[in-house]
Amino acid sequence: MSGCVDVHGYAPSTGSWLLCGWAPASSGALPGRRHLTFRFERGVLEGEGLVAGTVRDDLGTRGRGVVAHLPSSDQSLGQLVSAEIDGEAGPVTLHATSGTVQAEGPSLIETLRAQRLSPPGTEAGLFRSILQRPAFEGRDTLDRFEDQFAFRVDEAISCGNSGLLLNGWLMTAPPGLRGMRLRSGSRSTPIDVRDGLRVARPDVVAKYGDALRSRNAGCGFVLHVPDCLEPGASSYLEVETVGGEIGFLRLVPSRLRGLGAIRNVLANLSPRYDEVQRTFDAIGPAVTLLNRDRLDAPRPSREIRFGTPPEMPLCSVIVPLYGRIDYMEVQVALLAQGGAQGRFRARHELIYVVDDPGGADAACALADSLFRRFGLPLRLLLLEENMGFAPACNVGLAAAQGGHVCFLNSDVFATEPDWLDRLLDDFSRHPSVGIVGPLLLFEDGTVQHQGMRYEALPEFSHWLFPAHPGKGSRPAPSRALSLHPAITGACMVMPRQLAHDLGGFDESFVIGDFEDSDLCLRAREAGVASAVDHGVVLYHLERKSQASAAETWRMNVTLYNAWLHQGRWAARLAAEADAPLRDRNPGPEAITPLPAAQAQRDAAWATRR
Amino acid sequence: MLSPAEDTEGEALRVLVASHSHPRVQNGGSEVASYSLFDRLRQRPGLRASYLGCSRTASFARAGQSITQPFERDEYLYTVGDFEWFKFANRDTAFARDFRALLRNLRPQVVHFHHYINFGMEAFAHVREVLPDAKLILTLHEFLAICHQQGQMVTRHQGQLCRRSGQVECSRCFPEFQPADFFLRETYIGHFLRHVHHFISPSRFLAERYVAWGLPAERISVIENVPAATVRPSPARRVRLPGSELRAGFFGQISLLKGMQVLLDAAAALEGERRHDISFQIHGDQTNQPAAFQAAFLSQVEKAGSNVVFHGAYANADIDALMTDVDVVLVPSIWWENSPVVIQEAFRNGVPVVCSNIGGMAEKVVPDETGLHFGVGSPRSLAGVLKALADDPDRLARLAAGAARECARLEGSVDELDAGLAATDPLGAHLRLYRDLRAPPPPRPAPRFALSREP
Repeated sequence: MSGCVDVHGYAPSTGSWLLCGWAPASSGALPGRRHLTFRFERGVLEGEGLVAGTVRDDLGTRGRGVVAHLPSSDQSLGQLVSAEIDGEAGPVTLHATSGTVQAEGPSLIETLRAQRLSPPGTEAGLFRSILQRPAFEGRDTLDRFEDQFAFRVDEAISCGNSGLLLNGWLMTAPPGLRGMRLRSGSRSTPIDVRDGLRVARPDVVAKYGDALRSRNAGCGFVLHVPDCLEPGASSYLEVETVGGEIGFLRLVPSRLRGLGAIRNVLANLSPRYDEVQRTFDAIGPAVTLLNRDRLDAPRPSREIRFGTPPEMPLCSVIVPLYGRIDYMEVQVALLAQGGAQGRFRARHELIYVVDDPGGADAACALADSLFRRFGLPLRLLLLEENMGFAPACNVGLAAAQGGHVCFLNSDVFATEPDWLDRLLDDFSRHPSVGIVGPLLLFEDGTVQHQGMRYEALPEFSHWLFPAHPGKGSRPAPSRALSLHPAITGACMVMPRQLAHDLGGFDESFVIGDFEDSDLCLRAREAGVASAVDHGVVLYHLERKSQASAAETWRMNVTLYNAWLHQGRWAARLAAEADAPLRDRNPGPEAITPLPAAQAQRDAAWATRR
Repeated sequence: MLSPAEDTEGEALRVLVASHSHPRVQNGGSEVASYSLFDRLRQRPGLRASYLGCSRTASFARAGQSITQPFERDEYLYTVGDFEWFKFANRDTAFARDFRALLRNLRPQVVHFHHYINFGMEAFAHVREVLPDAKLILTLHEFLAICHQQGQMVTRHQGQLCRRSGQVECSRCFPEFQPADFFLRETYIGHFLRHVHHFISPSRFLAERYVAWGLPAERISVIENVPAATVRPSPARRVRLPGSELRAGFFGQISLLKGMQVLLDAAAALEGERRHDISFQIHGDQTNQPAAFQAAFLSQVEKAGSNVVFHGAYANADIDALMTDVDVVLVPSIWWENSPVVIQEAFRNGVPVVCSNIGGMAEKVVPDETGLHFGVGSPRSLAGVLKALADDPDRLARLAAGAARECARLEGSVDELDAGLAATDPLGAHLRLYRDLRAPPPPRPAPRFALSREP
């Protein structure tokens, strides 16, 4: 049995392919929700659609009129060839003929509206309301639904090539919404904010809760919609109520980028226990994209030199500077000890990476003053944007000239004049060691860091977090070298070539967490160990920061970094959880020799100078 | 280039006295002490003394020059620039250049600092680097290295006497700084104090506090400030007639810590007891104090009985004349004090001192020899001591004689030193220290020290 298609086309306002035609009189009942198969020149569209009957006096008893609606976002299928309706009495096919007209937009809607739908009933009513759907005219039209739902998108953040990250909230009164589509140019992507991450928004409940008879505090959402934007096109959300009404919400592209965007997205989350894994599985990939976007941007920097460092420094000390610029004063005063004959000045170079555009002027002025006071040559690398720990260290690494590099936090202070030389000596004495750090003490003389191990934290989905054994207790009287899976990046020395081979710190970690552990574990994969030299003591001040709600996002950045670290290392660390991860505190004799090739490479690093 | 006096004596010992201020810029006790030392030194044959002072309030700098000579040939003045007060770091980029140039030009063999503020801790490193053979001496004047509360070791809000600093304790006084900040402060200050060959403390009390803080005891000497070489007319001294009033004089800054409230309360108590034979003569300046204190002080003086007379500020040159008109000098401070200049001034006028029984002042006044002590902060105790003294004219006379003897000891005779005698006077002790430090060192290496105190 077959009939004909008179008019067909795609209507953006209905988000569907529409047709108007007739079916043979012998076909069974057609109106209703039907499975439809539309065949086009360039593809086939199949799915549930809506069919209604029309009064066609011209057909007499030969057939009866039908209209059909098949929702789709795909508009580029070309001419319709045939349409199959899964009727009550079996499939009925309508064919396109040479007389079939392809219409679009308003004229298509006009044509269908002109049809007399019959019989009056559910399908006809529904079809009529679909045809009544307005087209987006650039204005928000959600206000009129205020008794049914309230919906806002606070930020629509560009995420990845053509994706969007929506940060907003939706509060509905029952029965609520039928669905939502994100429209961009010719693209239409069905979305469901319930697929996103739920976010507590007590502010919204306070404002709309009574009116909408809802106490749903988790009405906020963060939803990542990948691959939904048409380049250059503006975007909006199309919202459909259960009653078939349509409203629009314009999506104003957010100005937020990089860290600002990450901060916005992570601001209102506070997952704990088992929620942590779910949360970051949902949001993590989007944060990765936001961070990548930030790192892909060019990172202009300039260098200001004060004095001339040695031509072939033994070691380049690289200090990222952010916030407390004034720490540089004490650090340089202590490094400069011995004056012109000082040990450090003759052998090493000092590089400050000012990762704090707002503090650049102050840093320059202080560096100038420090050079005049202490005569210790300084290289100041100024970043134009705050990049975070790993990128700042890597900028310093790229500029470093030393045979070794020492990554040093700005709040680590060396009171012994030969601390660095003694750490460098460890490499020649222990060829299997690739990364070495000192014993770090707090200002009260208790341990801040003496090597890292890992601890699964139930509060955070049992992910592995670095733990610092002995922290806050009095150090044991030891001058030995101890091996650890990882040591802190607050002060770590390694051959520059090794740092290069490893690609520096992994910048996927945002701001500054876990990248030290990651670097050490990658070094371990490459065959060299990390160690703490308990005979060398430096001070590391850990400022107690004022806990505030504004810092929630910072905690979530840590969790994001933990999520990355977990995905990368958890399986391997768990596999060896029994033996090698335990803290060892052996003398140098406990260090196992490496295979010959590795030992040679170590020797090469050690003698690179 | 700045020029020192012509080099007339090839063998002369070259001494640079460096002070955090200059008496012509600000007239405080330690400025006077450092300038007196310089003044006495430059009068000595075989010595070439220069003076470097500082100015923070007025600028004496010339474009491109932070150290200038606005006053005298052998006197230099540094106009202080960008200074960091928490750990005494001098960020002024001109200072390092100009100070080093001055050192190269003067080539002093002894550089004697009074204080480190305004110069900055780094000044010690400059001296050691430019003049590796010079000896570096530092006279300590209060507890600034130990205590951020203006170096007074008195708690910031309650004004209680503090006996020991510490990262945690100091952070309690200054919650805006964390213990780690005090660690940095101490580390920075201690790092540069290591350059100093020898410390002088004008009081044993101050020396003990610094040793407890971490300075090596063998490198601190207690030597009193060198008094000014004043040629005084001997104005007629007041002699208290039997039955006439006992005049207790206060001289100096009028402030809470100087014990003004204790004095006023004691006066009120005596007025209440109708002891009209004791009066309080207040000389000093309150105008640089907080407004609330000034108002309270003036209103109390206004309401006080006839036994309180407020004379207002005085010029330093008039101190001797003013002291001849009192029977005792009061030093009722409620902080420790180091070696208050007013005590020396009293002694040189043959006036005994009644002071609080703590710290440097108690050390300088020997009870029943050069004066009397009363319980710190106690108006009752002060009133009691004064009543007893008023009732015993002979005792007052004995104390006055003791004060005059102490003055003679302090002013001393440098001839004793020249004659190889053990000099006990401050100038002699300074000269001996210069000589000893410059003597060929013993074979053992010079001790290094770090602040060794438990934090």
